[in-house]
Amino acid sequence: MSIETRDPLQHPEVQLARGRHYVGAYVVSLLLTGGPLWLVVRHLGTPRRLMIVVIASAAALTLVQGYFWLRLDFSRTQRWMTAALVLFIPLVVMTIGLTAWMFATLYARTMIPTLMHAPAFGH
Amino acid sequence: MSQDAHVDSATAVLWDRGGTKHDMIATRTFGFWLYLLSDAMIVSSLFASYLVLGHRVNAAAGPSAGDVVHPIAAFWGTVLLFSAILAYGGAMVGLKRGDRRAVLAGLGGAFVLGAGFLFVEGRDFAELALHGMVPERSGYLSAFYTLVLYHGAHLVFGLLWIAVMMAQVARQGFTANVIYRLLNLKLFWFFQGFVWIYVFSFVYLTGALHVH
Amino acid sequence: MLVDYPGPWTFLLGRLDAREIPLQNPILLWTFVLVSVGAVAVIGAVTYYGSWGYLWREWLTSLDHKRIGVMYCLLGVAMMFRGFIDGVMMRTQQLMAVGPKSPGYMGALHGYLPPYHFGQIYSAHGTIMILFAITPILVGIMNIIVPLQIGARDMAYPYLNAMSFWLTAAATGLVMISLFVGDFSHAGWVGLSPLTELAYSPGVGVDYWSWAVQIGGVGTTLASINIIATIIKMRAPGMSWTRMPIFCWTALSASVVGLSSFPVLTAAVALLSLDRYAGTHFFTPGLGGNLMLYTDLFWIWGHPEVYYVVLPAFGILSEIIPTFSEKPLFGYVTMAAASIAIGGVSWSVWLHHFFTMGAGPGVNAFFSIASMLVGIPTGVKVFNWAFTLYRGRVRFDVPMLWALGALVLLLTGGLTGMMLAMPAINYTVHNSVFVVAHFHNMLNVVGFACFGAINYWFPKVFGFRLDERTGKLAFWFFSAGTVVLFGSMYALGFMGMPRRMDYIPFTSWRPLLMGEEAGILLFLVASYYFVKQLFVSIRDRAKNRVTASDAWGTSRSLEWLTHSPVPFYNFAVQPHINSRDEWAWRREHGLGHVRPDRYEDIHLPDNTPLPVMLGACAFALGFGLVWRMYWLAASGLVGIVVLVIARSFQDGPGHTVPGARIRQMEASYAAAPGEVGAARDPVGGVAAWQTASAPRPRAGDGRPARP
Ligand code: HEM
Ligand SMILES: [Cu+2]
Repeated sequence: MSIETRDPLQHPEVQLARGRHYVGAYVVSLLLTGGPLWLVVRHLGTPRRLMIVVIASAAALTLVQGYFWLRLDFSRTQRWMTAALVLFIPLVVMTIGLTAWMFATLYARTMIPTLMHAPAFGH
Repeated sequence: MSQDAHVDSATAVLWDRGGTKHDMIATRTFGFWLYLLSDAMIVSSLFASYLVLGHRVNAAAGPSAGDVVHPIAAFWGTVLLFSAILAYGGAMVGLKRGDRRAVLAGLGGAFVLGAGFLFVEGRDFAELALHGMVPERSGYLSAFYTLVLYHGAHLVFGLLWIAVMMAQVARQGFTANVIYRLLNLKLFWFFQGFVWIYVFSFVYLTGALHVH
Repeated sequence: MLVDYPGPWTFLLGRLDAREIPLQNPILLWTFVLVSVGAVAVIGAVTYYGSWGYLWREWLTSLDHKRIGVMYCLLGVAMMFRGFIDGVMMRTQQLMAVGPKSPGYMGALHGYLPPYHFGQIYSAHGTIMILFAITPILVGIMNIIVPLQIGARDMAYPYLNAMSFWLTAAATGLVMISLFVGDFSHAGWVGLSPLTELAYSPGVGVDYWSWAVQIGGVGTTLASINIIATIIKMRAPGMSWTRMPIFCWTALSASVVGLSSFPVLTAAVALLSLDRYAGTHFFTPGLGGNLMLYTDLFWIWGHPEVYYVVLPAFGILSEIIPTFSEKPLFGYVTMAAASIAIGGVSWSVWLHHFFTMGAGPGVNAFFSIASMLVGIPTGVKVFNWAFTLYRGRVRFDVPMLWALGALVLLLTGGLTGMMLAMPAINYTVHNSVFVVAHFHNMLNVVGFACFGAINYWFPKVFGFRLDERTGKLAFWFFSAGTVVLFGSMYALGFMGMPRRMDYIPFTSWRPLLMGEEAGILLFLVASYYFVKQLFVSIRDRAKNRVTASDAWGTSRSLEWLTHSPVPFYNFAVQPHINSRDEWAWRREHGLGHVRPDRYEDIHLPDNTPLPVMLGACAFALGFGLVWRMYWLAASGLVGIVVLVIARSFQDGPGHTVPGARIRQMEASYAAAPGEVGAARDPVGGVAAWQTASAPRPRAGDGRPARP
């Protein structure tokens, strides 16, 4: 516990706020969600291509919101937060990715196939 | 012995005076950020469950993603949510100037827009429920509701927190404690935008892809 | 939304009624009598000595990291005892229920425990040992030692620290009360799905298990946040990353693992609870559930969790071995790197707990190779410890004995782990007691390290050493028990004995089962000597008093720079760090006795009852949910929210201890090293217990001044 002597309003994390960045990220966020939405509901592309668009725009949005909203960069103020996030990303990817991988062919390998072809489970 | 033989023991500084120099605000926000990352692991687990239970076997002959998601309604929710974040950003710009009215206005805006998001989401879910698409219907629907509502529950909590912070800003002004809480709430609120990117992309847009 | 379950329900008591109190079961009745007598004795003693006020003011409401750490350790040791008794009961049942001719007692067909009761015991044993014994002890040790090793005044968030502890205590309370009110889960510590589903476990047992795990898990997650932030943000000036003690590196790595993996457990168990309470279908066998999804989520946490407990143990070994080899640790950089690497790799191996699920060969090969990769950094550590011992002046004090024992166990446990990591072998021994022997072997590494740590740091916290003779006896009996018990168990595993059996069909296994029983009896003797060690040491504390700050004379890291027992402010003036082994460096350069010439005011947080109250609310929440007393659960939840908000409006200002008072205290330490602290300083808990019953302390007695 320490005694805060300086004016807390001058704290670098308070001073991070940038109105123009916030608005810019807002506009880009709407474009990057609205754009893929339009493509998807209009079926403008094969599902595979559209999927790539969705993934790419989600990735781009992550960067945009991370940088311009959360202001994650390598400055003195923010670098530990950025580092922590960067360290967590592989864990998130592993949790989801490895799980998806191990279950991808599981139903086909175990007893589920008979069920899968049963009429009740078909489309 | 020492790997640090280069420090001369005759002149070495042994004690550090002048009180502790730890930055209270930065320590608090960092810890809160760690909490948010741990929360992200819960979200990841829910996404993993959603993926596994997204198989048509898990729809139990009931509705699957294509029947459940309404991407256009979700997009209006997206607009409201991102606007709520922008409003909070406005509060942060006000805080930088020490402008209490601007902070209160920004928080109030975030509150109203966040509540709007919850309203849109709630209406969507009410409609699904009317069509018998409830979480108890199948493994797929269980995963769908849990994932989306986990994000929604965070917004409910965020609204409560915003209300508390409005009271504190009004009553106590900008003390160091109020400021670190405003900063933590900023992280929290903005983080919900992050999570929503993935919910919107991989539940709503991806779900709509499979409508034939 | 809420599901139907069999049985009656009332608004006030939910599912609870008088029949849920198992008076008809003689074992539980006697346990109840025993626990009640114990509780009455403790309450009586506290009342007799008039120590309630002291206990409340100085311990229960304390935000001091050392006190919280001590409370964590006490909780953990007490629960380890409970878990141990569960173990004795299981071993005895398995010995008694061999072959169709074995007699049955007390309602059991064979042995003395009916299957359902046996199931509850092994579930409670595993859950308790991992989550409520070893974890609290390790968190307690990290709590005490990490701030001292980095020269900090306290943890980064003292208030959160107390909250974590009280959440853990609340969860422990839930496990304990399940003995006497209702029953506990019978589905294993892993919560085997779909056995945990409402259809197959309609009672409250699984709910006790899940809410205890849930509340305890939140406590541990918060503790991890605290330790990470403390290490990153609170290091004393001069302590660069390469000067940080290895124990702190392992604490950091373990906490990152804990912070990232515990939430997955929270998610897994929450989804299970949704199935049980809201009727969803995550893990049900029908209607689109996938029971392997539970297993997957559980082990995403489960494997990192085993490293969460083993990493601090590695850190403890890295502190003890150099001290008693009178040499610096060999290979500091590789040791730190290995700690981080182990934490990282431990995140990508979890499928080795369910190779037999039937995933494809690519998947199994990936996880098999990843599991074996963990062996590389672990091997690096083993060699580093060996090279530290090599040509050292090795002393066999009690902590060192435990550390060396841990090294041996690490070898066998690690090698059997490698065997299990090969799918081809795993398919034949999965779910056999070979696995049980492997992980007990590994968790004994942690247990040995904990006992080593308790012996090693005890004088730092309390100002006197633990008795040597009884300590050595405890060590030898414990080691012998480990070899005899788990040696037999490995053999039984090779013979194909499945785990979790309440009845053993083959009489040919009896000799080895007798070996296991003999092992646990040796453990029993060891725990007698451990208790005796504590007793003798407290009785003869004058004899074992530590007069210098460094209890062992050859310690190396910063915690040995300040007095033993540590005063409430840790360091009178924050030390400046000049070396990797700061204390050893000062000692070797003749600076060991240099004290600061000037003292400054110290600012500390005030004690607060809020964390205890939060723990009580969490308990109410859990208990209410278990019994579906929704009013109680809601009150607990509302209580938590209200307390948190109320606290945020208070902003405890803390208090300042003037520099003059610090000077006084430091002077009295210098005048009579050891004496003053041990007799009067409140941190020397046991000794302070006595001062509390004496007349109220006067000024200058080392208690913090209120402004
Ligand atoms: C060299 C490193 C290790 C390897 C390769 C390894 C490998 C394995 C494997 C493959 C299993 C699954 C066996 C089965 O169920 O068929 C297992 C189980 C287990 N291991 Fe290890 N292990 C290692 C280290 C550890 C450590 C350090 C600990 C704890 C401190 C530990 C604790 C456990 C536990 C608790 C279980 C099983 C729990 C259960 O099924 O109930 N292991 N290990
Ligand atoms: Cu494992």
